[in-house]
Amino acid sequence: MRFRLCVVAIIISMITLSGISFLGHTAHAKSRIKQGETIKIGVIGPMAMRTGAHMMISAQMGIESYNNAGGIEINGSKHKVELIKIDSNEFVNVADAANGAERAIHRENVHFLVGGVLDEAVAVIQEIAADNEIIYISTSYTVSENHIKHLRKDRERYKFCFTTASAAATALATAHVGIIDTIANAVKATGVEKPRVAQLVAKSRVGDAILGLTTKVFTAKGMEIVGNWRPSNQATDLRAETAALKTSQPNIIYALFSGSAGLVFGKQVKELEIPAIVGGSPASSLFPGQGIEYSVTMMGPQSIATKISENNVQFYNEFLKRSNNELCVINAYDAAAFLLKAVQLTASLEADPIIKTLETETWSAIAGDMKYDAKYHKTKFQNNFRPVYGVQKLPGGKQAIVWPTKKTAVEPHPLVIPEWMKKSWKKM
Amino acid sequence: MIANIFVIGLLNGCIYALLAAGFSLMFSVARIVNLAFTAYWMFSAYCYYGLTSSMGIHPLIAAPAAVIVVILISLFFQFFVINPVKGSSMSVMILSLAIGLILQKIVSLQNLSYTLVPNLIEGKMEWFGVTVTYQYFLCLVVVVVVLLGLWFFLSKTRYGVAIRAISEDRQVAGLMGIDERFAIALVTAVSVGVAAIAGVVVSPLYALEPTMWMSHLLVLMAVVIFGGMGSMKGSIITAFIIAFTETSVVLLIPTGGFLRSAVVMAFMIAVLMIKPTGLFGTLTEE
Repeated sequence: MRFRLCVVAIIISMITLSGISFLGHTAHAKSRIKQGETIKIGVIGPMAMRTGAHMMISAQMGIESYNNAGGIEINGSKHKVELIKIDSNEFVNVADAANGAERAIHRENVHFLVGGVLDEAVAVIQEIAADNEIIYISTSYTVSENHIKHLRKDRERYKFCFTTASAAATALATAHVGIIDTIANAVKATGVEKPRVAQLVAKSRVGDAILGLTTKVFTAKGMEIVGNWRPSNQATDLRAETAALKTSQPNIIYALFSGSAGLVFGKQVKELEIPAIVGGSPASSLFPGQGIEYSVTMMGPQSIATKISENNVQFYNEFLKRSNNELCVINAYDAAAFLLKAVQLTASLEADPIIKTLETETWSAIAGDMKYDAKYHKTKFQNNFRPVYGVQKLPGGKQAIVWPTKKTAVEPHPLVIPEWMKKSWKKM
Repeated sequence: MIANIFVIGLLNGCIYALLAAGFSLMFSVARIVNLAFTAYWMFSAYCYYGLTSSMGIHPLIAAPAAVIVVILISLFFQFFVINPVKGSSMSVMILSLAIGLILQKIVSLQNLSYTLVPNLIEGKMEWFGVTVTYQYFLCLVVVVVVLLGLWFFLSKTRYGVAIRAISEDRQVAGLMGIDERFAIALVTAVSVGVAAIAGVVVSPLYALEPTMWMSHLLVLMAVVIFGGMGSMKGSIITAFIIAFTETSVVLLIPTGGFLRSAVVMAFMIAVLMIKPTGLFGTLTEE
């Protein structure tokens, strides 16, 4: 009997809570703001991880200038900006991203949403943003397939969805191929006729797609694939893989990792002193003190110390100060800054004028000037600015942009191969 | 190739053996399947990192301090969370899993998602033609010493004999005046202490990650079931079999490296189908 009563009490409590949530929802007025009320931006991401922490730091940097100026003027009164931290837990459970987005909108009453890293998480946040007519700018690395698909299918519903991602997933492969090709040319210049490439690509959807392509392209470009290794992204120990890799005597190691595998890869490759140039996205380069010397990593301008755009060096230096010298793995600065600039320009929180402004203005992103295409809200960089570069890590922590090899917004440097590697290759 | 498998599998085998020995010991005496066991291992690695890297404490002081902290935490959970539900194995499993998740979340809340611990000693050498670091040898030596210490404790000391007596027949042991409550506390401290030592010594070799305990829990379960629940000898031998199998998978099927755990599980299922009690199973109905 007592058990039944408990069950009934739990059910009644759940119904009551759901009712309260619903009332909260209906009472939510996104476009209205009272005098003195703050403009709330929900920053949604994996907050228990470094990625989420970086998202918060960069978003904070994006809103500071507005708050320092006393806020943004709407209807004759100034409003400060507040960031609401929302944990998406998306690396563990994507469903939590949906719960996070719902909570941000219905409980925290945010006016805008920024964040999301994984395609799957971004897709569910987009649905919730569209349902609630909240403008959402995703910060995933690549433009999600759903982003384009949604806008193509039902523009009126998904017009609230934007992205700061600079490229589609295929562009990632293009950048990696360009980087490895640059390394291969430098290796050939030392007298190696057919550079040997070992591919260490973590098991992931992106990895699966890229590996098939790189294998074909590298072979076509006169390289020899000496082996492919596919550890898990969550691997915490790669001693077996790196030992096998050393045995295969490569000149180039193509690495694509994120997560713990990327971190431990850097440490174990350095310990083994493999005479090979690492290229791609080994992830370890983003951790302080963990970069592999002479490796060439694909990086966005937010992680590069060389002046590329108006904002990148200032952002780079300030971010390092706030992140304990970690390079920015994800950037929510642009998303927060674009939104606030649009609010300032329209002097309103109404979605439609803000969307129109986002679609028509030129935005000063960290990577350089960019515009959104009005149809699919894809980012388009202007004036030779690029979203990613191949950056070589030189001794002493110096960075040199080595790819693209043609001049873009910045002059490229020749790739450096250390003497000990050249000697080792001659003995092979 | 064989040298690679031997050298890399050896250390992994030692680590698994150390964890499995502690887990088996706890199971054979306390008769509980403590799923938080590898979480204690993970937590000690992070404690060591926190004490050395964040607080600047010397590693020789930080290492025992981390082990003691983790033992005290485990005793707290053992007495206030596990012991009250000891009679229900399902409750023990669920609660111990919850303890593991709590420890994981504590680490996550410190923004320590991916972390590397600096080596205690730098340098490397060739061993059977394989490049290995001095840190690797240090870990190997510590693990072997702890395993020998555990064997000495269980076979040559009064308390060790008492623990073994309880594991063999708790009623007779009780009649002989052995305090079961004390023995369980001692076993918890010793077995978690062993896991904590493993956590501290391997921390410079791994990338630390709050969920790392889950993948090791899976391997550990495979080791103890495969070796025979409650058999320390079986667990230690199986630990090496599994470690060498995992390493072989990575080295012989490079593109299937991510399948290393799956291959081990398939191997375990095959063995259990032939011998359901595991290789050295001693567990009988009570």
